Amino acid sequence: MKITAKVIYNGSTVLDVKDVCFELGKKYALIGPNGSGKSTFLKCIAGLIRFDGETEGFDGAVYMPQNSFAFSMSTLSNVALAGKNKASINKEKAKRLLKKLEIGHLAKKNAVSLSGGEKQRMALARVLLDNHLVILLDEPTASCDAKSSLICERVIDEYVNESKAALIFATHSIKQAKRLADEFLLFEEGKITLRGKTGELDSLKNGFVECMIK
Amino acid sequence: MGAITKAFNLILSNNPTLNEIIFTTLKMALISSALSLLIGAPAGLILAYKDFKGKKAVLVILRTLMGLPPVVVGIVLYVLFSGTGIFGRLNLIFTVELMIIAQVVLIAPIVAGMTETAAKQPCMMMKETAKGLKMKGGKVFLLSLSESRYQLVAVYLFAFARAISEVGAVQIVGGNILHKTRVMTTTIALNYNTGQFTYAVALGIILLILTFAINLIAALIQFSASRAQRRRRGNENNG
Repeated sequence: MKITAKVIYNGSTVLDVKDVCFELGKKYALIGPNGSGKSTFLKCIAGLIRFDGETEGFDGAVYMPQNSFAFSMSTLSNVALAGKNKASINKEKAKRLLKKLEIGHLAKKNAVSLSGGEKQRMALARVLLDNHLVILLDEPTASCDAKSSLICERVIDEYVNESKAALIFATHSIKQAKRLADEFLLFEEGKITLRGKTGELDSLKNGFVECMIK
Repeated sequence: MGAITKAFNLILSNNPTLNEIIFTTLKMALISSALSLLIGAPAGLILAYKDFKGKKAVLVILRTLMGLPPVVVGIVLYVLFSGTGIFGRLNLIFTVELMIIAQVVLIAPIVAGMTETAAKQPCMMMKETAKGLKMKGGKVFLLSLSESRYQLVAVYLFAFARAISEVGAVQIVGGNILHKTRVMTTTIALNYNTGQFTYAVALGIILLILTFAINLIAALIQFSASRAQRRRRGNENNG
């Protein structure tokens, strides 16, 4: 899978990356300061925004935005509606996923009234309901507390290991990048300035990374 | 005061002509507002959700159509459907059916415009999520419909109010024929023209009562729906 993308917004370049490759079965963390182009990069792969360039092999990639929308219906229905199977099968799968994410007790509750963290876990269940080759997550645990974040990471990890999908996620947590990802891509001013194994993050001489580790 | 007394006397008198006029009025208003909703709401939802080339031009045209003068619509339809018009063979001139068509021409753009405005925000918010999940058009349409359901009730009520109170176009294409196309508004206009002001105001009061009754029913439906939802949430929290 490969992407080359250039996005210009109001005359300034917000993303400029060339021949960025990803492999199935691997997990990639996009790190970098606010406005460095991580979300734009994910949206380009998901086909949500127009850009100059091309993508290869990302067909069917599913994307979870930072602020996922909660439809005015039960949490279970919110998850099940993302499924491509029969309604009963979707609901059964959704129930299992909600239980795994430890929000099974909220299945019947209207999703609009969920808290930020609960809503994010519901959105995660929605994106992981079916088997997809590429999973794109934009700060998937930004609204979750520490315990919920670990639960989410465990479920994501299980999903990728079972489905052999490629996971690409944006995060502001170096710890999360190290726990969940195999590789990291450091974004700065719309460009990928560094790429490597997450194990190398601790010894990296980079102002942003050092600041995040501290 | 005399008009109010007359209005209630009229209601209580069970006058067959008045009953007929009320029935024709309600039939025309209910059908035309429902048809306007069926045409205008999907168009409005598509405009709210979809981005396409020329969308701004379509919105400008729609906003212009929202201000169509009823008399002009009446005259244009009259020309098209009169004996010498291109649709003359359909024999629709001076019928309730043509009055309904005239109202749909007037109200459907208003419904589309109001739906677009009401659904724009929920549609914008759900767009990224729906597109990110690769949802198909039909599913997204149904979800936008479901997310805008309360706004659509308000839009329908507005359409109904507009339909029941319209006089210019229905007067021209309907001809205000007694026992056939006479409705409340054209009867009021007729009574005004013949100097029967008290009777005209009394009919106006009855028209107002009808509109109030429809709004009350809609408000009760909305209220019972939200109460059922609150009760359901309460049960979930207790359970």
